[in-house]
Amino acid sequence: MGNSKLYKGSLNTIILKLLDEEGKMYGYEITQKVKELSKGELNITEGALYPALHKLEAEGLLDVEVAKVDNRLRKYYKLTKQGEKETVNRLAELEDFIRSMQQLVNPDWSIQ
Amino acid sequence: MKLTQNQIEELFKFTRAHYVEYYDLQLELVDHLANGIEKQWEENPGLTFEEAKNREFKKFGVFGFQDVINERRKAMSKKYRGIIWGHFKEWWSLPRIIATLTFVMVIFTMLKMLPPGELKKGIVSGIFIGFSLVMLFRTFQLKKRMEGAWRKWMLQEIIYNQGLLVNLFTIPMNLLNLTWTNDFMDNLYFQLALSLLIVSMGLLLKICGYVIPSKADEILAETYSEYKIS
Repeated sequence: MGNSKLYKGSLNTIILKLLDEEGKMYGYEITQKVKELSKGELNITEGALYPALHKLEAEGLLDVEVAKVDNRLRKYYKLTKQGEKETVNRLAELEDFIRSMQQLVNPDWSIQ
Repeated sequence: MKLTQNQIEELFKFTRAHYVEYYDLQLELVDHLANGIEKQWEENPGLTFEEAKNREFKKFGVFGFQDVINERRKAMSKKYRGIIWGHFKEWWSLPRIIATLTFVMVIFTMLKMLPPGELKKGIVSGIFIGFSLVMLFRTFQLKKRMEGAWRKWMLQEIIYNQGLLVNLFTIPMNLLNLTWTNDFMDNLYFQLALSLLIVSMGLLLKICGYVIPSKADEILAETYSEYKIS
């Protein structure tokens, strides 16, 4: 399992990016998708996921839709217009961060 | 294998037993636990409902749902502050600006005309005590509305519970008694600032105690898609 502390600061960006790609997702689906994409390397804990989703929702970056699935109600999250813009900004910030880290740990390396 | 309606009801009871009082959170956590349990059954069909449920709950960590509840409250409080700010900005139409400025001038004139001394302090303290009492009464009224409600919503509780505002009203009162001397009270600039503070507090009382609670249904329906469905 990867070092979760390294991922922690990027959790919101990961959520925004996933929603940008998938359109709308529910909490459990996000945890499974991250596990699948990172091949089990990154495990988003439930105790961290929902606070992050609720914070993004309160910031106006996410919108919620409720639908009846099987015999229960399910909350889907999707990006708002503001959320779409913020995703672009946060991804650019993350990319800058990765570039800086790479220069620190491996100065010969570069990303396109 | 899918969960039955009874098992879903069990999960609602389980979240309530773990101090999740609010339906908006219960709904999300129940769906999460249900998905986790169904996933476990796919991999290990021999697991009982109880075993799968406990395994899924353990994933929330040693504090269970507490972190989720606390963070949700922070997020909803932030949203509430945004709602207050939105109403405050909306307030400023021309007739209301005139009315508000008139109030400021009336209080300012009153403070200017009152004889120097303790009386002035007493009257200002009285206004703030009045605000606190109105707010306490309003909180009591609004809380009664929530009693016996079938479902509790976190934002509704924040809107209806104005206890914190009472604390806010007592701050100027305490400052007045502790630090503001009579000389201060006779200073024109201070009187003007105090008039503005009194009117601002009165406006806050109006918005938080009356305007927002009267629109609670509309705000909850806007915030929670499940509010209309439930």
